[in-house]
Amino acid sequence: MQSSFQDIFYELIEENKGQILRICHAYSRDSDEKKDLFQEVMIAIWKSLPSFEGRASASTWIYRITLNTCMRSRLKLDRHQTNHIKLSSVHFDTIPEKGDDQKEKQILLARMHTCIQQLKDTEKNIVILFLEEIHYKEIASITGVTENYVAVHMKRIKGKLLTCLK
Amino acid sequence: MKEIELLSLWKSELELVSFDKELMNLEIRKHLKSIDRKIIIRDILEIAVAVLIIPVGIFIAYLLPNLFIKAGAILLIPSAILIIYKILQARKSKKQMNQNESNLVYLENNLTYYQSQKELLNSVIYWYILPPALCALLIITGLELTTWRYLYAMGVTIGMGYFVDRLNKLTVLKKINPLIERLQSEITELKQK
Repeated sequence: MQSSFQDIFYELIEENKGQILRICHAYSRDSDEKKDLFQEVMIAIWKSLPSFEGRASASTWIYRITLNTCMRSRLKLDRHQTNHIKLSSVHFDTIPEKGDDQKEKQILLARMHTCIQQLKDTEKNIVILFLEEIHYKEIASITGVTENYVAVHMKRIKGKLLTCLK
Repeated sequence: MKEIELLSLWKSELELVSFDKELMNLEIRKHLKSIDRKIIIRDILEIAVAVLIIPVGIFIAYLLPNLFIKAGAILLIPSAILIIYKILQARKSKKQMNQNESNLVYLENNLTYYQSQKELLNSVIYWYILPPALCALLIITGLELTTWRYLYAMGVTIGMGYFVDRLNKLTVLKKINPLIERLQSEITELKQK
């Protein structure tokens, strides 16, 4: 039986929600902005789904839409006029802290995001895709640059991130 | 910190997302429907004033015998058509940008869009201010007002035109130019070999 539009959408979102949330986090100043952005990405995926031809892998397609939507949120003429989408069907739950280890991880993660936010959007996209363990070839396809560009710039961007985290 | 620790830290997001599938489908459809409705209302409101000017112009030209008033009223019609044309043209360039393009193509599309917005706002004086202002000046002249009232009406017309032009130029300067610069710098960087 052929899957319906809703089923395909739900499957895509369900399978990729982790990476979408991480990217939205990297582009947000606070938790509320992250949630708004996540829902904005969901709407963008829904709207783009009819043009999804399956030529690129689903995850590449999702990465493109997510990164473009996150960049777009910074390119609006009036950033205060962003659509605050509140879907009650989407639930965000914080994982409860378990011991000092997790607390420390939380602090480090916050520091990491602060460091990522200091990068330019173009650098940010490349480092995000690297952290998602995407191959250089696919990073090049998502960002629209050459594989050589990714290879040359990756070292410098990683260096910047590691220096910031020291 | 080592690279491997970096990768593991990145994936340790402390929030989980879950969905109510049926409700989500309904909510997204409802959200998109309400956005479509808002866009239609905005589109109608934007050109409604210009459309209304056309019968008003015809009515004034038919009713009042003064030549200046007749000329001003008749010229209101092409002025309104020009405004409607420009608004519709600007809307066409705002067609939904394809979000599944690569980041570089997406940035380039955004740059083209903002450059066309800049051009449109910078030329407001030629298509939005001058034509109706000239019509207004002709009508004011035809009203045969006393010198002071005439000067006052002219002053208000010119002042309003100046204010609208400054407002648009300020939007270009403060909001659109920084965005264009930012987009250009990011595109240049991505195009470096």
